[in-house]
Amino acid sequence: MQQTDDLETFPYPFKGEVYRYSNNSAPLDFPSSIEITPSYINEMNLKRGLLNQHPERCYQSLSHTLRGQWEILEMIMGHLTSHYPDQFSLDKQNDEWTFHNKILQEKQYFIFGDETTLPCEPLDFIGRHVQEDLIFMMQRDGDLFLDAGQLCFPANWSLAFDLGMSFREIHHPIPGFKEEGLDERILQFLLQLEAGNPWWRKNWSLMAGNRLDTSLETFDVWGKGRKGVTLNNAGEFVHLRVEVQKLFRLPRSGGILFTIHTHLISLEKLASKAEWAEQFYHILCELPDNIVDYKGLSLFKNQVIEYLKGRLESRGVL
Amino acid sequence: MQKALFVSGKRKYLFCADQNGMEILQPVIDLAVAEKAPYEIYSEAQPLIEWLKKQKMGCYLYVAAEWAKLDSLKNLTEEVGFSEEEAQYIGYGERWVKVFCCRCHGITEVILQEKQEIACSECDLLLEVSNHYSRLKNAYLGYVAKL
Ligand code: HEM
Ligand SMILES: [Zn+2]
Repeated sequence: MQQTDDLETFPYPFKGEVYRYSNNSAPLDFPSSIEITPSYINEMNLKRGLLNQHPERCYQSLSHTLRGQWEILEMIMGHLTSHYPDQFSLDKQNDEWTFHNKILQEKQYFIFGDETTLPCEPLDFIGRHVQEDLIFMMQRDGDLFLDAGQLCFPANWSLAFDLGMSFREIHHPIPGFKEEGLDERILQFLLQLEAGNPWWRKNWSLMAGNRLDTSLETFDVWGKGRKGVTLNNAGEFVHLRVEVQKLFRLPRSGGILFTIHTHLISLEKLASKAEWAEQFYHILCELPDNIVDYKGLSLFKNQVIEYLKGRLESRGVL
Repeated sequence: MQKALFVSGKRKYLFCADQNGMEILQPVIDLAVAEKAPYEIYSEAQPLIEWLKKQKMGCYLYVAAEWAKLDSLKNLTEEVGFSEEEAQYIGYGERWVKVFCCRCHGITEVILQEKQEIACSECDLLLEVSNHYSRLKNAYLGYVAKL
């Protein structure tokens, strides 16, 4: 199954030759929470298969989130129909709505605000039409809580475990986040997020393999790939994994919609752009051990560096 | 063993502990005395809840007890109105905790130790017990210990 992105559209994440954790969020110019790419149909099949086979791993919600979930459904349907009018349409007759996904040839009639008219909860329903993972953070007492989410392609974390956690609790495993006060600063930034002014950021890691569903629940299976990376297979086998993350304030519920679109590109393809190969090479060489460990690169970082070095040398860059 | 941390500049200090707990609190009691701050030590002559209720705003509370009793004490003090910022809880002895399996979501109860590996009671996977904690599940996350 083709799960990798094209070079031209790949959301390359790096600036400069040093990578550190920071609040790297920026205003989102094109205000859409979602993006449809050529792998839409593949990814919808993959997502729905995971949701059906592993519902507890991929979908979690607390009961007080339903109103917010409807607000999310409305926002995403709005984005789909205004940015992709040829692929999606929405017919509204007061509360009676009909959503049409023309790519998948599916039509759903429902009464807005009445869960019994949908096959599943609103967040779960709309998540089955977009490539993004969808996280609903609710705000109360000056804090944000992960109270619902649909997550099929996690970067090695568990939605079932994180349900109900505050922003800082969620980020507890990240080295230096609390010590450097980053968790508090980012939380304050998020609390001030305004409706109509969405933000976005990119996060990256390396994946030994090309699975999108790198859940913590299956780490004992896919994590083994990290032991099988060699200088010879690194180019095809290892992938740069980039999450495009977007943050939208929900005006009615006061919560935040956090969408995550995951992209993969093989090292080989990435390295076909000499500037990218060179920049990534320097970043990996310089990356501090605690970030290397947290991102799970310890077992194969050296092979990747050697591979990139070889590509650069063959071009006379290094 | 956990230690109590002295938070200086409070209006009054309250200490609540059993005999072993008092030993843990003694260094902070000494510091409160050195600061000439008012303080009070709970004695079992009256119910704890009444002693807590009669205290005024601005008090800082230290509680030290066996881990097994600490949660219910914390519930009580929070009910009376002491927030996370106004109190410190220090546990000693054996501490039973729940561990959430990253693979099967099963829960295993163990006595907490430093750098611990356990087998999941449901799927038998070897887990490394982390300090990533969920209040909702009252459990620590167990990660894959060996790839
Ligand atoms: C508000 C919605 C957000 C949610 C639900 C969220 C959730 C998460 C989760 C679950 C992880 C993985 C933690 C683990 O290992 O268990 C993570 C990692 C991380 N998050 Fe967030 N996050 C959010 C927003 C942000 C923002 C706004 C920033 C920065 C501006 C940020 C920065 C990071 C960083 C740097 C990592 C480490 C990633 C790595 O090294 O690969 N997060 N986040
Ligand atoms: Zn298990």
